[in-house]
Amino acid sequence: MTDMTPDPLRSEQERTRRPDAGVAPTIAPRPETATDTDAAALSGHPAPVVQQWLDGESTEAEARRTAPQDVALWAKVQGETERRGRMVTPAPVLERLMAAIPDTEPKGDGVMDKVKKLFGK
Amino acid sequence: MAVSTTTVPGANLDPSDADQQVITSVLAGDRDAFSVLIHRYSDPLYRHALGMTGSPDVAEDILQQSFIKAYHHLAEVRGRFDAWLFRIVANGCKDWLKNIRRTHVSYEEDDQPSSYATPDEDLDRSELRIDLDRALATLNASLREAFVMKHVEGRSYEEMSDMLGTTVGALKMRVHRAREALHAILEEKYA
Repeated sequence: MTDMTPDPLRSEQERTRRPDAGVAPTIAPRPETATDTDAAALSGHPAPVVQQWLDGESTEAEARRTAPQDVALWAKVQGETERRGRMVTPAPVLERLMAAIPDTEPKGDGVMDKVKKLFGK
Repeated sequence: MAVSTTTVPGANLDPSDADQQVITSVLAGDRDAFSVLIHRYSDPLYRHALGMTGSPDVAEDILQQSFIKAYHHLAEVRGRFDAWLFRIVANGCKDWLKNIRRTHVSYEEDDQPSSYATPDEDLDRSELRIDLDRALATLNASLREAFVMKHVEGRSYEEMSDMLGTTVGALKMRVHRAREALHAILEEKYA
């Protein structure tokens, strides 16, 4: 269960980050650079032109000419991810979310600040 | 020009202003107005939690805890409510991923039924769903988050940057790395 600490914007990971944290092996990010050029220069698969197609920077036809097998794979993956993107919250889940809201009022800290901010007073 | 009035908090307004109106109503004691925010944001948040965890039950639990947390801390919202709420859910997902890995419960051992499988769909697609879930589970949280936001939620890099407070270049890099990792796992079977 997610904890209820006073700072909701920080994850437990951010609050307790340790460099040697014992987590199962995963594919960790390599060092990131902040330019699009670096991102586009990645080698391997999918081919760069396929990455560009998936980013909307190139056409599928162009990608298919260069790397037809990569395009075949990513067309299937895209079909599945797009289907997932159309999912909505199941009605029973929505009902349970509504029912879970506490009867108590929210904490009042900052209410007056908010009112002043909204109405400029 | 006359401004129209309405009984629905936040109707006919810019989304951000509409959220602020609802928040003001809730903070003024109208608890039920919070349901407007749940209706407004549950779908994209549910998709995010499901994409990150792969489990409908876990996604629901994270959403429930996140909405409760948001309700309790509603007075602390600064800036866009939707981005604030998204960060609560995103952090809940990361915490869950961290904890499930720390306790050595693998994704495959979580025997929640797949939310994607339906009986009338063909075997290939069902297999792809399972294989994609397993491949996603190998990604670390930040790569998985970037991939889900880009490909499942259909967000632009600019929108992702606004929501995560990370540069477009860094997010693009994460998505590309995620695709590389997924490609390496899936290519033998699907390329």
